[in-house]
Amino acid sequence: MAGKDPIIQVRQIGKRFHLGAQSGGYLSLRDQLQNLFSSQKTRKQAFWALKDINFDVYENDRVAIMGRNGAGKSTLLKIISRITPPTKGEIRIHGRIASLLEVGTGFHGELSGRENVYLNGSILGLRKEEIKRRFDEIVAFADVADFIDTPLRHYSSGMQLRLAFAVAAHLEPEILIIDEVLAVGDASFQQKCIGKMKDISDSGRTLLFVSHNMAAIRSLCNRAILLKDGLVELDTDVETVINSYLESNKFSGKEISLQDIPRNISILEKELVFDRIRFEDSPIPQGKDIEGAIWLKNIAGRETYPYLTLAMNIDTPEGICVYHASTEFTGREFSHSADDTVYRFRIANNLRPGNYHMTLFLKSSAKYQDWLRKEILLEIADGNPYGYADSGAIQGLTLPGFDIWTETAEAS
Amino acid sequence: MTKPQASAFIHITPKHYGLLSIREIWSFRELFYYFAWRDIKIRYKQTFLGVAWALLQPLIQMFLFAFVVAAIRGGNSSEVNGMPYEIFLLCGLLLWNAFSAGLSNAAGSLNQNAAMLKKIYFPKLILPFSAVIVSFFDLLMSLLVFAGALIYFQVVPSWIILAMLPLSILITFLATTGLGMLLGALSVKYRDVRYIIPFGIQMLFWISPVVYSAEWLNHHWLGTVLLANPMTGAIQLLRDSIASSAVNWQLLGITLGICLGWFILGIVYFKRTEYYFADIA
Repeated sequence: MAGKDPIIQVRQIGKRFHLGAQSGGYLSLRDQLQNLFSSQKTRKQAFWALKDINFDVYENDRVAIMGRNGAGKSTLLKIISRITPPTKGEIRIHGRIASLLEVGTGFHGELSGRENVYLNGSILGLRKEEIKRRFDEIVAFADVADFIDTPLRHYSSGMQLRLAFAVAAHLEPEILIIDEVLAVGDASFQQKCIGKMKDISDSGRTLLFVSHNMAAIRSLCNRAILLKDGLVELDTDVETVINSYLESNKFSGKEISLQDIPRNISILEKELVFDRIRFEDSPIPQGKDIEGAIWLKNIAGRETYPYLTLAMNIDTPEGICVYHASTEFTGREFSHSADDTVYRFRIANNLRPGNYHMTLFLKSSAKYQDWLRKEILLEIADGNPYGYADSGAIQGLTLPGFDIWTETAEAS
Repeated sequence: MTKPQASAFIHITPKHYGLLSIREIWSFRELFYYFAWRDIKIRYKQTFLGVAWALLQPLIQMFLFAFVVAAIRGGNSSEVNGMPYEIFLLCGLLLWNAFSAGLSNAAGSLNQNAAMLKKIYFPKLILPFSAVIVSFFDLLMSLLVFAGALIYFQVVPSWIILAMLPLSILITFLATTGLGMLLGALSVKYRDVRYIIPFGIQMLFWISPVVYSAEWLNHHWLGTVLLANPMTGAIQLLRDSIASSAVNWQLLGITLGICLGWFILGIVYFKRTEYYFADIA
C-alpha cells in the first residue's frame, strides 16, 4: 500500500430510515395491497440518521467515533462493515476488515466452549486452520481452559463475554471496527481487552472504535471524530473532542426546561417530574452561592406526594462528586400538591472555575420519581477569592477561603 | 499472519445487489458446514432418541399411511405401479420429508438468525442453504430405512435407480433451496409469509403424489398443474426407476427445467433483497 493513500475513504455518506407505523420498519402485505389499490400511499416519515459524512482514515490511525445516543455512530459502523447499505455516498476500503459490533453474536448455549470458538470464528471469517492455530491462545486469553468442553449455557455471563472477545481479538485483520463492547465485563477484564486492542493497534493496524468510556478512548486512540445530528462536527485530536463532547452533551443556561431531557432509567415512576430549573446567575461567579429555584410537574394527577426527597449532586467532568446536597440530610419534610410551588435552593460554593455536571434526583415516599443524571452543565466563572491574577494556576478542586498571617510569639 | 489478500478492496455504494459473488461464497465455504453442523448437533442433542428420530419418522409415517390407504381402498395394501405400496410410499416420503422440512427451515432461517444479520457481515445465502442441508442429512439417514424396506419386501429395483436416486435428490434439493430462498427473503419483508408457510406446505402435500399415484387422478388438466410442482417429477422418476429401466426423458426434462426455474427465481429475488435485510429483519 502506498504510504499516504487513505485506507478508508468515506464520501458523502447518508442513511435514511423510514419511521413507519410499525416498530420494525417491515411491511405487512396489507400495507402493500392498500398502496396498490389506493392513490393515497401510506406515507412513511423519512429520517436521515446520517446526512453527509466525510472523512479519511490512514493506516495505523486509531479513530474514536463519539457522539450522543442517536448521533449515528452505530449506523456508520454498520455501513463501513457492509451490514447495511448507505442511502447515498460511497466508501472505499483497502484491506481486510473485521467488525465486532456485538460480543457473542452467533454463540449458542447448547454447544461447548470449544465448538463455539470454531463456530464464532468461522462466522467472523476465520478459516478452520487459523482457528486451530490460535485456539490455545484464545482459551488462555479468555481464561476458561477448565470449562472449554462444557456447554456455554453453564458459563457465567462474564465468561461468555471473555470467550467472545478473545475470539474476535484474535482475528488479526488490517482494519478492526469495534462498537461499544467494553461497556460490559468487570474492570480487570476491561483492562485486559484494552491492552489487547493496544497491542493490535501498536502492530500497525487500523482501529475504528466507538465507546463512551473516555479512559479507553484516551489510551487507545490518536484521533477522534464527533458526530452530531448525522454530521461530522469535529475531527481532530482526542482531548479536544472529548472536551467538546462532554460539554455539548449537557443542558446549560440560566433557565433550563427539564421536561424534554430523555430519562433512560427504567426504575423511575415519573408520576412527579422535574419541570424546570432557574439559576440566579449563569455562569456562576466564583465564590458566590449557587442559588435558584426548581419547579415540579404532577404528571399522574395525584392529589399529593408526601415525603419528598430532593437531591442535587455536582460532579467534575471526570466524574468526581464534589457536592451532594439532599433534603434528607436537613430533616425538613416537604410534600408536593400544587405545581406552582417554587422550591428554592442555595448551595455554598467554593468550587474552582470550570465546568461541572449537575444531577437532580426526586423521590416521594419510597418511589423513585425522577432522576436527571449529570445532564445539567454548571459553569463557574473565572476568578478566585484571593485576588490572584492567574486562577488557572491554583490547584485543587475547591478554593476555600484561607488566610496566613504572622504573630510574634508572646511569652506565656 | 494476516491473510495474503492484503490488497482486498471493498467499494461500498447504495446499490450493490444483483451480483452473485461465487468467490466470496467460496471464501466462506466452511460456514455452510458450521451452520449445518450446529443445527444438526443442537437438534439431536436435546432429544432422548437422538439420531434415531431420523429413522423412526419415515418408518412410522410409512406404517400409518399404508394402514389408512389400505382401509380406504379396501383389502390389504396391494401393489401400486408394480411395487408394494409401502415401497411406493417410501419413495414419496423420503423426498417429501426432505422438501417440507428443508423448506420450512430455509424460509425461517433469516428471521431466526436476525441478530446475526444485524451485527455480522457474511454472505446471507449461506443461511437458507445450510438450513436445507440439515434436512438432507435426515434424508440420508432415512435412506437406510428405504434400503431395509427393499430387502424386507424383496424388491430389486432396476439398475437405473443408481442414477435416478441421486438425480431425484438433486431435483428436490434445487426445488427446496429455490423456494426456501424465495420464501425466506419474502418473510423478512412481509411478516404474513411466516403464517402462510406451514399452511402452504400442508396444501402442497396434497397436490404432490406422495401417498397416491398421479395416475389415480383421472383429470387431464390437474395432471398438468401437478407437473409445475417439481416434487411430482422427482417422486415419479424415483418410483419409475424401481419398476422399469426405461427413462422417461420427457418427465426428466420438464422437471429439471421447472426446478431450475424455481432455483433461479429464488436466488435472483434473494440477491435483490438481501442488501436490506439488516434494516428490516
